[in-house]
Amino acid sequence: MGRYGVEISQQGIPVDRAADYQKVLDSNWKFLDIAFEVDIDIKIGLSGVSNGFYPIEIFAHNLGYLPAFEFVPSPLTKELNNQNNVLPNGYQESLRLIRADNQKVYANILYSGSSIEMRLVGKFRVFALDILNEYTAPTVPITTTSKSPQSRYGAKFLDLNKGNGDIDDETLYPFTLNTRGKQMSIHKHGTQRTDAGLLTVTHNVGYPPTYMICKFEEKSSWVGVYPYPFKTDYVVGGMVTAYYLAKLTPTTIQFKGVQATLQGLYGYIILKDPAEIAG
Amino acid sequence: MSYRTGIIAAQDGKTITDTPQAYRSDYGHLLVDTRPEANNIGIYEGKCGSEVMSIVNSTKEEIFFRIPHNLPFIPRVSVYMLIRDAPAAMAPLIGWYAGGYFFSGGFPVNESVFVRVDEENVCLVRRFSNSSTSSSSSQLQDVLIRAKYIINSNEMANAPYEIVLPFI
Repeated sequence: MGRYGVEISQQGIPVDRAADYQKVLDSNWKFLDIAFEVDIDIKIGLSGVSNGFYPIEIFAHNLGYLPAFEFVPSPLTKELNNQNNVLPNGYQESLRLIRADNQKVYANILYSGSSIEMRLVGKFRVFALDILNEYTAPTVPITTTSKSPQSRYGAKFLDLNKGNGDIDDETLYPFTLNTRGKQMSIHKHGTQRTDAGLLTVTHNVGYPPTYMICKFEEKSSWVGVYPYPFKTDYVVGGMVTAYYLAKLTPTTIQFKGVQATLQGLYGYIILKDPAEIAG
Repeated sequence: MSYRTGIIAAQDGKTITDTPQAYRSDYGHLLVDTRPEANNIGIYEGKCGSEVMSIVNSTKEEIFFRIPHNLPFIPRVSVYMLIRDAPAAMAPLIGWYAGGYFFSGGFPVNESVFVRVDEENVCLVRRFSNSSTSSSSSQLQDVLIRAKYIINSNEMANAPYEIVLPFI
């Protein structure tokens, strides 16, 4: 059976000799599509309720599945009652705070007897990727990688979500595709459960890859424990690019806690990009 | 008038109207400028600082790697840090990638290496804190790491931020 589709390599790299991480488009693969980005600046609070967790809606994503997403809080994120600046521990606290089901994103606030008012400021990037699904890119054998002189030929697509971009812009910011740069594509994504403290993901990409990982919370952790609006059996936390301890090989990634035992269901995205080689 | 332009590629064996498609140029993507002069992708290899720190009931920081990102916004950054060598107390970490609070003597002493991103630079920072009234010394200046950094041409924040991850 013949192969057909679209392949575009980075500028200066012949497409038939491009390593997978040197392609900016290959229609055989999935790329890390951004469904949308949201800047939030909201106040959320609780008072006069029973002690426990309370998921408070932040925004609706309406994607119909549990999306991979990332969130970076601004230093303006604070608990307002006592004026404690949540940062520098704000990143970790915020990560533990945020959950998404198949329709909405929530902040999971712990109420422990005194009123809470929090200003939550930051940026969400929501990927068009159902993190509960499994995917592995088909492998495409290549003979060797090589580079040729910089060429004036290439492809650029402006990202219309970013307003009136200039096709001659020297930065990559206005574009959704530009052969002058690298575009992050996915080798594999899926879920993995562990009860033994060591989480092993087999990827077989052929080099120690870069990755993103997230943690799921399961229905049993909230049913009968706290009031919940979730419409799914799982909710998912934000993706992070470095988490726990990770041992990377050309075929597997092993994750383990520094002091804690990893337990439960995790989601991962293995990117077509080596963790050690620049290019 | 609304209009659509770009490329949509179907998944293998599917038609172009089946969702999700393999590729849609009307979605944004994570991009990296790979020109050598942009220096948006590279490797730092060295110690986690040089300063000898002995402190009491305080916190101290040292920026041990700083690279200008040359972008007109505060970008998304990912850093993968491989621990190549470490003093005996941290030797079990050798050969592992880590981030955030991966060095710790436990409360009241904490040692962390994290990423700080502002309008101009991406920095690797060590932070040493000791909330005890007894003096304690950091060991990070003796830890050798190899860190790959990827600076995306995608905005990540309106204000400087730190990627300080949980000590799990």
